[in-house]
Amino acid sequence: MSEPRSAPTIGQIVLSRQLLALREKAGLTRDQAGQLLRVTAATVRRMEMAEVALKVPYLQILLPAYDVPGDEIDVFLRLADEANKPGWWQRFHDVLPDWFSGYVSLEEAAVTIRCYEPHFVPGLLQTEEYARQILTRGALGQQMSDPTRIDRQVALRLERQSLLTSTDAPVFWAVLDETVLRRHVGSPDVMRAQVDRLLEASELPNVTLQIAEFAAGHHPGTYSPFVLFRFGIPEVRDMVYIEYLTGALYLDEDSEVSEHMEAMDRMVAHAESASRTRQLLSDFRATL
Amino acid sequence: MNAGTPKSQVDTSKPHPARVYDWLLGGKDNYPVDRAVGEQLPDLGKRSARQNRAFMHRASAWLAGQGVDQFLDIGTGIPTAPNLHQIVQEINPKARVVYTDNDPIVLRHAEALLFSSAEGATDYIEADVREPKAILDHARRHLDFDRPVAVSLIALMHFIPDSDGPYDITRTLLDALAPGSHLVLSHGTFDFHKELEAQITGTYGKGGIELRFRTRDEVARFFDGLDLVEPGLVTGPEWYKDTAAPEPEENAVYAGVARVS
Repeated sequence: MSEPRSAPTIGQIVLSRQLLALREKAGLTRDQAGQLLRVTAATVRRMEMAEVALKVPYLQILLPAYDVPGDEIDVFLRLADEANKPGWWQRFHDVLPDWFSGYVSLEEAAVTIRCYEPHFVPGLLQTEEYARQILTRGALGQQMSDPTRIDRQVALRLERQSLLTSTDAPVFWAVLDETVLRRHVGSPDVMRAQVDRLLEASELPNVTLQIAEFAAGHHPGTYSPFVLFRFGIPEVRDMVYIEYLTGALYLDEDSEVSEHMEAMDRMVAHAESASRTRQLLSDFRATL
Repeated sequence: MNAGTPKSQVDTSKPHPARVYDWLLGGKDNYPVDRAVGEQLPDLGKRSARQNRAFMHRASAWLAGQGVDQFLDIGTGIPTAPNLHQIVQEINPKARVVYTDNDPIVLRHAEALLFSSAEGATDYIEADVREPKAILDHARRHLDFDRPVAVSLIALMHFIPDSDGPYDITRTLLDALAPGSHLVLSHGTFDFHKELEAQITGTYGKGGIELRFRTRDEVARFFDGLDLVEPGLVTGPEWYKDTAAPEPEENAVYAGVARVS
């Protein structure tokens, strides 16, 4: 009954949570909601967890049953329509792994993106050449032999970058481990251009970069890269995104978000300030 | 990249006043230990936090409207929009704001999130209000103390016990200011809610945060020797100048703005 689909958009996540909240407020169980739609409680659950798209005919039955006033139902239905529309990144569906399209929609919807990058320059700040080096070396199996695929992946990455200078640009705040500079990706020219790009980005008012130096020892996030998303809606929780070789995790449990935020907060206190980071980047550039 | 700078110790296992305050304001930059404190406070806590913030908005906007274009905010806390620089730079884009906090995490948040208008400036000092001289030394690099500066101590001094000399601290700050400067201060009180004193002080105390709410007379002492601006020392929602009167609401905050002559 539920057609396979890619990761939900943030709009779908928000509306799904809202649907759950409305049902609970109305004092109905999932079973009762399911009976109204002639579906199982599990189907209701999948709708509320944004595992399936929100179907307008279902909403037209559920929302009145949840005592939602008529004008609010109209708004909800309009939002559901919007939320179901694919974002621009869907044009790159041939190169986007399923688990990644969710990431791009979160990036688009976020008001704040905080990340810890132990290995590479964050995708949003990579130069074309740096991105190409990473994507070429990082490609596995079939991808290795397909240069057009790499081209499209590079194009996708560059298209994502316009986000940082758009009118609704989010705050982008990254902690980069010193490794990011020390591990050369491509030739010194590639690295020099990349460091220039970082310096240039660090001048943007909405971008903050902090380097965690080797000399300062380890810090609570020394494990793996992660991203913390915050959305401009009070009810929507922050979300943690963790990528690994074959997939990604999206965490939004309070306890997990809290621990990642605490780790991130301690890392930003540990890492060098934004102004000293700019100095470190300039100094490093001179050694290349 | 040699010799790392010594790092301040950051302890996130205990509640922190700035993060409890963030929670009270409905923010998301707090941890379970902070929420635990907030949840044990009466409703008055959230109400007072909101009223306190609203007072900061009104007072800062009024001062900017009066032509004050230099602000020294001590005990900045977790950014919550609109922040002081956003309020005053909307009125005067050239306004300069220096934010100060003693917590490195809080300060980094300020650095990352409180970015200035293109014409104005914001800067950040990691310093404790208990070291007013250090704050002044640093602030002088960014502000011209020969001209008026508005110093704000918003919901801060009630975390400074008598033994730390709160009045001397304020005096040191004020002595550095040129005529026409202002002190903007808000402070918790149990004057209207004696019955909640044990609960509120106890809740913070259990989290290791020493709370010293003060009486009206004790708060008034912070303004000794200054000219209190109308309406004087009042509760948060009672302080307004050229805006509509805020909805009167029960709260536990005294608020005042005074001029240095």
